[in-house]
Amino acid sequence: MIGIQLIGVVVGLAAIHLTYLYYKRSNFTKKELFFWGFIWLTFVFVSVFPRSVSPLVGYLGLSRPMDLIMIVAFVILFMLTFHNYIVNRQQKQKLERLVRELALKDIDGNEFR
Amino acid sequence: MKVALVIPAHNEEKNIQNVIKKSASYVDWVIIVNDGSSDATKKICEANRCDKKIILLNHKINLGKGSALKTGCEAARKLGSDIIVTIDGDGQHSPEYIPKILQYMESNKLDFIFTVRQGGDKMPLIRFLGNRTLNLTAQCLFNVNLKDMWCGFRAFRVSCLPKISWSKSDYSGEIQMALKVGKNKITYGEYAIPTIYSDNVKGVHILHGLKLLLQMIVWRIML
Repeated sequence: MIGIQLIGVVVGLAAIHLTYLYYKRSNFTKKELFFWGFIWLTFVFVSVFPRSVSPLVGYLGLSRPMDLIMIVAFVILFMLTFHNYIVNRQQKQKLERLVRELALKDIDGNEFR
Repeated sequence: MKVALVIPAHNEEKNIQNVIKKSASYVDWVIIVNDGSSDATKKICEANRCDKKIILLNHKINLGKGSALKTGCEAARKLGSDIIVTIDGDGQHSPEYIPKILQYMESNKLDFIFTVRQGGDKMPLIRFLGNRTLNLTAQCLFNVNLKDMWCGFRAFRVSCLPKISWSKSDYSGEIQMALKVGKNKITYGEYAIPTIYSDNVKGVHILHGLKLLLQMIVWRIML
């Protein structure tokens, strides 16, 4: 096993451990545990057996399994960034609405008319 | 005709008392929106609420000037005012000009009044150039020809609110409002007021100006 594979396995196992910890602390639901568990187990599997993705590499016209891993990693990163942006924006809007509604509470109570 | 004055205030403990005292006699309601101030702004405003015409609204956290204006204007609308006047809480606008602006608005049958700070020699050069660039861009993209788009001293009819509603929560909300005036062909005029620059200028810097320039192009497509 070469160094980069070893790093991949260690990172994958650490992430599985973290996923499990988040589940134990009730930060993750069972669905999230299985989703992230599957993602990281796949990551560990591909790190140990990089040739397992060779058929897919050939099918996509890529030359090395590493290229596929990098492309998939970038796709996931972009998806997560986009998802985070949407969630962040929604939270900001909700927070603004809440703060403004609280501020306007007295006006609604007819106190000043 | 009922007039509400909206004052967004964030950490304005030094000036807010003067602004409230000077402006109360010119309008039917003074609505101060304390935008999550961490200093004594809230306490000072509460101490100055001598009668029911002075209304203090509190944002629990700082949302930005655009949001504070939104809250203030919404309150003014709910109170039943016909005209909304906005001024900054830092004392850079003289409330004595409110009756003159309202008179100008009525006599010319206008829906929106922008003010123009006079005495350009006092304005820092970088500000002057930035202002000019943004005004020219707004003129080209939105057909709104303004001499001083940044000035927060404004007056408009409540009936215009749906047409000029702004989504930005920060300082650019005011600019968005100005651009919508041009886009929706609302009748507007400009009124000259004296320039009072405080030592502690919290306003916009060159990066804000550049960001806004890009935003204007996006708004031209989206608005």
